[in-house]
Amino acid sequence: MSLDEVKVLNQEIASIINLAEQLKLPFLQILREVEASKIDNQRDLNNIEVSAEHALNLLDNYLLSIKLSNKEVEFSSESVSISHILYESSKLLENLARQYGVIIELDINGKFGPVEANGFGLQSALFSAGSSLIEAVSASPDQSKKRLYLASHKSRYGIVIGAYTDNMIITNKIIKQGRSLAGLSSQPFPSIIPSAGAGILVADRIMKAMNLDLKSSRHNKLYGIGAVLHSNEQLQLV
Amino acid sequence: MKRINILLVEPDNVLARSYQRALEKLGQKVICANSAQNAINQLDKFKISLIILEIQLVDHSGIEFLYELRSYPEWDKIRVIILSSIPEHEFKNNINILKNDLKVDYYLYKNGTKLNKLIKIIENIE
Repeated sequence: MSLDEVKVLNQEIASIINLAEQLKLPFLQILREVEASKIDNQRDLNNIEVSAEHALNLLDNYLLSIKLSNKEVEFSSESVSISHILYESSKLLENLARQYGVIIELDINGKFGPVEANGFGLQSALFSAGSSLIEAVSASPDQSKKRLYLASHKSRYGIVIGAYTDNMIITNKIIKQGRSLAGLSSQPFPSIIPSAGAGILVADRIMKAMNLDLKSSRHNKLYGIGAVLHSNEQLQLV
Repeated sequence: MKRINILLVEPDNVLARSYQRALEKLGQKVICANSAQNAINQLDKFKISLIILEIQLVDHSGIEFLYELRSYPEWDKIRVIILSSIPEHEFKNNINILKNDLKVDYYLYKNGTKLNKLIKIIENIE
């Protein structure tokens, strides 16, 4: 086995460990909800539903990221509407956000033309990253603002799409450290997320498979993570 | 079960709600904090008898919180149960520091500690 192959294998093992750490949380939420309902006779099936759904979505997106990395699945680039991606991602995150007491806000005011990307891939990545950030926003010591913003804006490199918050600072150093600690630490993003932050790492892999870079990003005064997309010049002209 | 004020330091508010519901049904007053800083703020506001603490927090860890807690004489006698997603064996030799220096009464692994077991431990600690 070559050194490169060993490196790839180690990364795969690290991502499995990271996912396993993350999945402990929704299972624990379900277990505690059931135990608490036996004590106070108040069953909240909605909580169980959201936790189970979140675990399944995370698993699905993880599998997608693996299949994309292994080229078992290939995403073709297409012309996609950013506002549609942001809106659909917010719908997917709605229940989880409600469970954590986080409000999702959409910033789709910018009139951008279509971009060249894979819509399903973008939505999966944004959902994964958003789910980790919902946890982060909820666990932040700053309790005054519990909002997750899904937004896009123009930068000199292209159109940026991402998830943002106003109660924490996310830097490239934090993301880089998280990537290197995945699988080695049960909390690879200790300054922002109390759990394994698998959603960010899954989003990272999906973006990478689409030749996109997940980076820290600013949107107005908000901090977050996002990726730069390139607009479809032909359709812009139509 | 004697009614006491319990400070629950848990960053996941979904989990925190389940613990709070169960303990309040048994007559305890549960005050929640999602971070070390908020926990200190709650300690300033309420007379706390027991802290149930997750050590994996955002920003400052539960261990840092414990050092801060034990640095104040008025909080030195507060009983502490660590209820963490990190298994005890991962702490290796440091577990003695938690139990001896930081006066942690119990170290419990969340996945292996059912609510009923936690309740029994709280009853014993009182």
